[in-house]
Amino acid sequence: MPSYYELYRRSTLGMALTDSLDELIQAGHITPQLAIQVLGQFDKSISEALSSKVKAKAVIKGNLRTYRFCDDVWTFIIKSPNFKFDHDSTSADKVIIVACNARRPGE
Amino acid sequence: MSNSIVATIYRYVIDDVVRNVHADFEGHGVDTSVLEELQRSWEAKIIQSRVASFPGEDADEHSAGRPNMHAYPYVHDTNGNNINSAASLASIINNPESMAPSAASLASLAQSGRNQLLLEDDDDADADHSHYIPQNDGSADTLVDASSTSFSGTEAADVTDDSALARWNALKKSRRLEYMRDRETALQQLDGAYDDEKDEDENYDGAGSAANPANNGNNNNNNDSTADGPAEDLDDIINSDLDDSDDEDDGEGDGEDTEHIVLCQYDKVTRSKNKWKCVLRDGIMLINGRDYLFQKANGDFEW
Repeated sequence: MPSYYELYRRSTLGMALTDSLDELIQAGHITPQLAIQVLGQFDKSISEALSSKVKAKAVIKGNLRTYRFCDDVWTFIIKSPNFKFDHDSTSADKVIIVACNARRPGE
Repeated sequence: MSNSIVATIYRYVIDDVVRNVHADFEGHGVDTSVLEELQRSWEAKIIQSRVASFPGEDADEHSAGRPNMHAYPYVHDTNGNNINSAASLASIINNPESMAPSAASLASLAQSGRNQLLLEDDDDADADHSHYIPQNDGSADTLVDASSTSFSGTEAADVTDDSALARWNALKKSRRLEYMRDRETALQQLDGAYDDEKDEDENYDGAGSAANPANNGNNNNNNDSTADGPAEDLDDIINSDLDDSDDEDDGEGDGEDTEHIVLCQYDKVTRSKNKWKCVLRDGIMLINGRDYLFQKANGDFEW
């Protein structure tokens, strides 16, 4: 039984799910255990969808302000990043990149 | 639109999660209607976040199959989304099929929901950030107490419930900070000039609020934020005009306090001199209020 990163819970989709689950807990309609199980399923579903259904490529350029490598997780803070996608591009003042190891321990 | 796949993928993930937790819900003795409510609420939040264009938003088979979807407005007031939860509660109350708690606890739920709404009207911008604290110790306790009666059939369930609840609250807390940021992004994206923390376009703040009354669920709070504007304006102008490097240091100081975020996995990270190359994959990016997905991304950075 492979495990999945919880990383994507911080995404818009994961945050919205967490909030929806929380509302159901507060209302007494589900237990926290069930909510935690749902998040576990979310970890699996989003990980599989990203690896098997997404084909888009991107290039990120910018000035690396801060880097950190801790517990096999890279964190980069990029100043003035530029994002190039297949059909368009965008930029921002700053972006934080959180990257877990694609090769899971034990794989 | 390069994030056009986002809606498709999100739709797939939502359906996949709902399909796969169905058995878990049954195992916990939770009615299917609660799962449907979860899906509706989740979808409504995603649509309202406007991180992607959802072609089916106006009329498609999904919303046709879920006629109540638009009955759950994800109100973008500056205080968070508890108004939404009150709305969902109302829907649950109105739904006789749902596993609703006793009538007494329903009344208390509705009541505390209403109280929360009233309180929110008086909140100022500072109280905004402490908004969720009372939920954890005050009103939330009441909610849990009131509703736990419907789950107290077995004592064993209660015991595990407590530790799981603690776990859940810890989990939720760790997300909350992120959420506040995400919500700011949503506001910033909606009216373009409503970034009252750092944006140097601060001077447009008032105009932004006024021009987008539809986005402002709560006028009091917007007025508060606007009132705060001029003071922050001066700060911003001083920082940006007089001292660029100082500005950069500020940026680094709250380095992780940005609303633009990339969540991904890395295949390889290499460095030669000051040039970094990263091979990234399976990423979700939230940039300027839009979500983007990538299978593979190269990062070229200079330190």
